[in-house]
Amino acid sequence: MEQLKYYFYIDNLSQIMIFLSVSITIITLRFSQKYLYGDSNQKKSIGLIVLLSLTTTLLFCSDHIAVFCLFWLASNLILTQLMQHKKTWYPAKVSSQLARKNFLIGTIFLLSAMLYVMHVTNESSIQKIIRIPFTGEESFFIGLLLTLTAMSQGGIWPFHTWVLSSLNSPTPVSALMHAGLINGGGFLLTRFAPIILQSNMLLNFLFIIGISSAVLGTIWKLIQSDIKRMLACSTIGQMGFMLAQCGLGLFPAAISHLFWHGLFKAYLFLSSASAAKEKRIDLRYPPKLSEWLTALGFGILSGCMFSLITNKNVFDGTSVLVLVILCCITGTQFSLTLVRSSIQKKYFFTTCSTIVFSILYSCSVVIFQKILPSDLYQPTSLNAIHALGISMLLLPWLMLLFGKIIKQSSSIEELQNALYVKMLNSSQPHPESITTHRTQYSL
Amino acid sequence: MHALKKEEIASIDETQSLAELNIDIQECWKYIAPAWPLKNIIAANPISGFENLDFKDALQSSTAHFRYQHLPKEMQNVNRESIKWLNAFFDQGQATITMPKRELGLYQSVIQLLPHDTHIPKDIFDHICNQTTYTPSPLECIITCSTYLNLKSNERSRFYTLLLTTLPGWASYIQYRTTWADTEDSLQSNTVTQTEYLAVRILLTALLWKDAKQLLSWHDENYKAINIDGDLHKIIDLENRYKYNLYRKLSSISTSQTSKTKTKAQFVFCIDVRSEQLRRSLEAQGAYETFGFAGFFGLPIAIEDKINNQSYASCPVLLKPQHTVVCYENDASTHENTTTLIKKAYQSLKYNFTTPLALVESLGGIYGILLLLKSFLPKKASKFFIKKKNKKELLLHDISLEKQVIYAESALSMIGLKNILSEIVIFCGHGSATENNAFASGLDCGACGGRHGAFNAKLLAQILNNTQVRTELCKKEIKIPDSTFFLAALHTTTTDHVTLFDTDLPEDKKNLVEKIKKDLEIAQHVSLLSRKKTFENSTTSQDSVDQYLKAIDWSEVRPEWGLARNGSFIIGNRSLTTDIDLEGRSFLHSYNWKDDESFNHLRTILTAPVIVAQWINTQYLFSTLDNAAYGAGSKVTKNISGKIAIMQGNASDLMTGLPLQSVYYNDLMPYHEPMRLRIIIDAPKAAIVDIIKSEPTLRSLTEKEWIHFVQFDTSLMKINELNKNLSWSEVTINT
Repeated sequence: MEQLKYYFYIDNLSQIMIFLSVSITIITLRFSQKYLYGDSNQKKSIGLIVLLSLTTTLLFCSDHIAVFCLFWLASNLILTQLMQHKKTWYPAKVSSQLARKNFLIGTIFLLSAMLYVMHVTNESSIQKIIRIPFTGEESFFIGLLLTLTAMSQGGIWPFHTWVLSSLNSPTPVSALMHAGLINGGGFLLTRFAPIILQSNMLLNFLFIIGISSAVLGTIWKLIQSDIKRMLACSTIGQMGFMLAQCGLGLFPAAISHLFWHGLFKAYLFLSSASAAKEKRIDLRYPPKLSEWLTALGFGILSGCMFSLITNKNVFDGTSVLVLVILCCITGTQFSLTLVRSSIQKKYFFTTCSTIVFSILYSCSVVIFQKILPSDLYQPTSLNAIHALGISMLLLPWLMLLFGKIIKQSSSIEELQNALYVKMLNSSQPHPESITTHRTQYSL
Repeated sequence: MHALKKEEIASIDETQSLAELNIDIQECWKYIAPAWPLKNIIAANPISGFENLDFKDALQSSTAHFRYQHLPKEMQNVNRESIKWLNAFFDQGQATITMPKRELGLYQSVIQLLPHDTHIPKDIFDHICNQTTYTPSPLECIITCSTYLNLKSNERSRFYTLLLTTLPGWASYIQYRTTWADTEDSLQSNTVTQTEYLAVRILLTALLWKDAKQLLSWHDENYKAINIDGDLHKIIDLENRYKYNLYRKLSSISTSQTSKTKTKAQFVFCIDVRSEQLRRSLEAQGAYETFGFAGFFGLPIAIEDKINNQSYASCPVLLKPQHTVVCYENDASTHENTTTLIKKAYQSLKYNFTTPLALVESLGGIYGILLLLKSFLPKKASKFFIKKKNKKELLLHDISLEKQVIYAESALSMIGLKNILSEIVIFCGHGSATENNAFASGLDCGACGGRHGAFNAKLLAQILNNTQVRTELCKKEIKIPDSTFFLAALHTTTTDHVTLFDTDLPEDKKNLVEKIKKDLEIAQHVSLLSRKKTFENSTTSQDSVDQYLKAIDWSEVRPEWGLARNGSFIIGNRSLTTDIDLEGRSFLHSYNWKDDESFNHLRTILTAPVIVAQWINTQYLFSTLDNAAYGAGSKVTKNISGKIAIMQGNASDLMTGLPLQSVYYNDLMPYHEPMRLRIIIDAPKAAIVDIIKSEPTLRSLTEKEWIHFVQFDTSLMKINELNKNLSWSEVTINT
């Protein structure tokens, strides 16, 4: 028993992660029972999924850094095995190899961070390490290595290729991955949050990398024409935002994000075969300015609701403002649709549903703030980087709504075309992971 | 030597007129079969471009074109770039930010974006496309590229064909868009022509592979390496085993009519092979008579469904819809309904910048609950999603009385139902019910253009219940008793449940219809019991529950077997087949040659339903024979491109055809038996041969051995096979 205590440690963070991972495993197993029926790899896949759930559970409660690294690597390697549907299908093999290479690089970053910590502190227990004060340089260096690990795990640029190329996997494996291991970075950073919080520079770096990836991932997502790659690009954006939340010092928000996003994305992957049935509705952009301003009023209402419920003071000059603004933007967009509709008792309906939406959003964040220790919630004071980040959230959104108003000149058109092709090319999977001719697809 | 070549090419350039090029282009597209999009998957022969050859030669030639083992590395690269642009251009509602310039058409939009593409060598692009001050036309582009690739004029057509067959899925989709597109698709703003597509293909090829001419010798090598004997023998063996078994069953029937009891009701089902088992099960429940007729019930209509906001043709793709039928709800409100509004709000948050970040957190919990419900309580989940439809639907149409009478008359007389009508006659269309199934429309009624057939059934019942129509019919000596009432129904093939649309039922028929409903339920159980053994993975002992779960389970990849194992098409009275179990492998068309003096009905059956069945049959045949080359591959790794078609994994050519799970038990064991369609007709030999001789398509299919005709002589109880030279030979059967 004493021995176990030396290697493992269970707290609310590990419990949340284990809960998510086990739930998704159960759902995936249930799905695979029918979905993989008749596939010659069914038994192997199910076995590996169970094994993966075991190693991730152990990872989430590891306390000894060697054990942590071991299960980190083991889980990732099992995932790469699962990704390869059939060995005879060459592009699937390439996908699996790309992921393996990426995870090995990530593990090297992780190992370096751990070795450096060992070297500095002579400690091997994570719980002890995170209570030790480091010098600014030390915490930046450790944090940077951990950030690089998290970036490679979450497919953040420039580590994105493996995620874009991961869709040769069976559907349930994609669901499992996007709700599970891809979030490993968020868990890692939260686990070591006390060290990361010691370096402001690192927090700013995390935030800007995260927001950039959120924007880039979303652009990629919006131009994709196939369902699965669209979902993968969306994950890259969401993982970016999760890192940004870490960068704001709001680790409970990051965990909340990875948790809810995991469930959301797992559902979308499992139901991806229905994609052709979804009819896209013409949203008739741009809206009238008056409509938009009315919606903005509702957006501010939901921002206020959010501050009220989460007990966050909007004007205390901390990074929480970023989340409040996100809530305002989303509230505005949500009520914009309702404001522009022709339903009866429009404004009453809009007010009610905006309040419901704000409560849903706020509660989903608040729960995690309550469950996780309060020292993981340390908003930083606002700075220019945050202002830049906020504008990166606002501008693309306004562009999508009002972009059509801009007068088209040939130079703008050329710019648009160039940007489109640039984005299209940068979001292509690795060439070798594309099935170039039908007979290359082989079972 | 080199110089000589150049001169030669120059002279070709001058002499080859645009007309010649146009012929080459037309020629190469003849090899490409159309492939319908996911919204209405119509079964088609993937090698219909080779149907002008003997079956054996077609097998050989198509193997060389579509089943090559390796593609040159450079051509793989060309395919990658082609797939990238085609996916972006043909997207129909997946991407939020669509490819710029799509409204200019495929060729123009690609050529305007290519200068920005770093995957393309810029100098070669300038060399080919910027020789003149204006953008070259697609035809000019093809000529320039052909010259650049050193293609001689006699090599060009063959080379163009290879450009199509090295990316056959996309070529097939283009074939659909350019020759078979429905109204919706022919009005799409992202237009394409066959020439444009070829121009884009050859341009990308020229840009990425200077020596692409090597494709010609690569193809010749492929040809030499082929051996199709194994495939051919497999097909012939299966055909022989099946046909003798079937002949034995047919010749064992007793032709004497015994049933004298009053029929409770008459059912008209679609000819679809899935009807056969339900018909047999229903007939076992009492005095029911069943008939087989093409599931669109002879009504060439387009549906404008105001309830689900969609419009489509509901008749075989071989026909053009002549009338529009509007379907709407009696009390539809004019206000936007809340469901649409919620969907709209959801989409506006999901397909946007920034807002998805908060959306996932707000809805994560709800999606968590949905995950649990769909996985463990699928019944509850399906109730959550499917709103109960008990509102009355109305059908409005613009069909003149004269036309109505014609449709009514031909429907009744073709199946031999003219003067023997019972109190209730039910027209039973069919459709499938599956969850989370990209191939869902492929399980619906082929005769209704890949949709369910309920509207056609409702309309025909409505027409025949019309007193004016009945009066007119009376003048043509078709007397419909006043007591006869026509009813529409929908057969859900996944669960074998039959829904009767009985909102207008007269009082005096209610008791009878209640009885029929009970019998239908029993028939459903009987039919499912016999189907149960075809699924290896059925778990519960309650068969109908099991099948119902298949219909609503989002992880089910084999909800039903569709038309798998189809092998024959029987044209004749139901009395020929009532006593035998056809195992759900036969299309059944009711027909009585004694009522068909001029054999016009037989001609219609042979030239329309039989052709549709032949398309279905060949699709199953080839999807089973080589699922990678002609089918869609495994559902396990499928991806959906642009809401139009299936890709495998990250990206691939469009995977047209049936998925592995529709024709295979598991990765290795086929469920469908690849064989050609056998058409068994109860009619005089001379009449059959006359029709085949005068119909070029039928004649060619017969002479080239794509289908087999068999005459079943019921008076002598003899079976005669039609040979490829259109002579008959009698089959001797040892019973």
